[in-house]
Amino acid sequence: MKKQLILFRSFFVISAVTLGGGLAMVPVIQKEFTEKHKWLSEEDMADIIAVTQSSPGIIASNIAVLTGYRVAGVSGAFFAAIGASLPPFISMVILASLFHSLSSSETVNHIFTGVRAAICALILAAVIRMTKKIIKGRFELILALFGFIGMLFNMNGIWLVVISGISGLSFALFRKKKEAAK
Amino acid sequence: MTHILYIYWLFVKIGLFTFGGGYAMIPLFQTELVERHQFISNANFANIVAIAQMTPGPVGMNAATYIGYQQGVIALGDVLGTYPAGCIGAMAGTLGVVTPSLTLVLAAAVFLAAFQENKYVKAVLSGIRPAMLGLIGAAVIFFANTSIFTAPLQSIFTRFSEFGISWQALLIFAAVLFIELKYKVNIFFVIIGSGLAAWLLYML
Repeated sequence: MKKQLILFRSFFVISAVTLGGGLAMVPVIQKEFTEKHKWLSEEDMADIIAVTQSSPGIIASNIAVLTGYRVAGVSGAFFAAIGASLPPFISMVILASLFHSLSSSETVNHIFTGVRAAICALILAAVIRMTKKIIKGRFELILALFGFIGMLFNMNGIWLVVISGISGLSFALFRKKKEAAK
Repeated sequence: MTHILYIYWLFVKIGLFTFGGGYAMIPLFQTELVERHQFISNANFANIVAIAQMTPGPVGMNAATYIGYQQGVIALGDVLGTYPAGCIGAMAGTLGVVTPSLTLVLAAAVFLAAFQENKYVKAVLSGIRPAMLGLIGAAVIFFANTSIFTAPLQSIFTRFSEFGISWQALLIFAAVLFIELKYKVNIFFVIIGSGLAAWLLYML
């Protein structure tokens, strides 16, 4: 039970201090579980990151679940996930209960317009950085354009994900067949 | 109560189809919550994303909790009172986005040690990753429609007369893009700074 409580506490603290979540948590988790407690090896950590990136869901909770599982089994996974979820839960409930009392004055509108413009730039910067890693040829480029245009003209995002997954699978099978034919 | 369960299910669904984390959840929120169910306006959603960047936790989880809270108040506010109803809705949102991790990912960890080595998983992801990039790119346009452009960019040909550009917002966009690509500045200061800049620029 002690391990579970440490998992809960560690993930609560890590989640509370890493703004934005996601892979920003990794170095802190590494410090806590491989260096301090020595419950995970460097290889374990690398495995966790690899599985996280190929699984659906929020990266932060995937990392919590996988770390918790490696350290203390299924119950460890639950304790870690609850620990990681609580700080965002608490802070957003407080914000949501305060936010509707925020005035919608002209000034507040202007400030938020500027903030939204900044969000556009932040997301675009992330897209630019990812493009270098993800777009390797014509196939990736076509799928990226398909996702972009489809989403822009109100196709359902979930269907776009499903269709692109099927395309990836069929392209891989097609390429294999072609190689076998040679 | 059925509405709360439905909210929970919506977030489970969004979580199941999110690959890559970070901003990957944003286009799916836009599809399901902004476009389809109209729980929240595009501009308000962008505000929440900004706030979610400055609060603890991942953006997706924060947005789910926030929207869950609002929906809880709408569904049960009259019966339970605002705060309890909001908390129940928020719980539905948080649990919803965590459920895929606690079921699918945990199952993969328990049963398939070599899940990420599986060639079919790799093939499917080789298609999803670039498409996800396009989806996130479209999210930039959606948010630009509520800040930089005065009418949606998609309607530039049909409603050209309404279309315009806010130079203040464009200036902030360009400055933040430059800073973000060139230097790594704490996101908290970027958002606070652009809010302040907007306040000053719109006074001109």
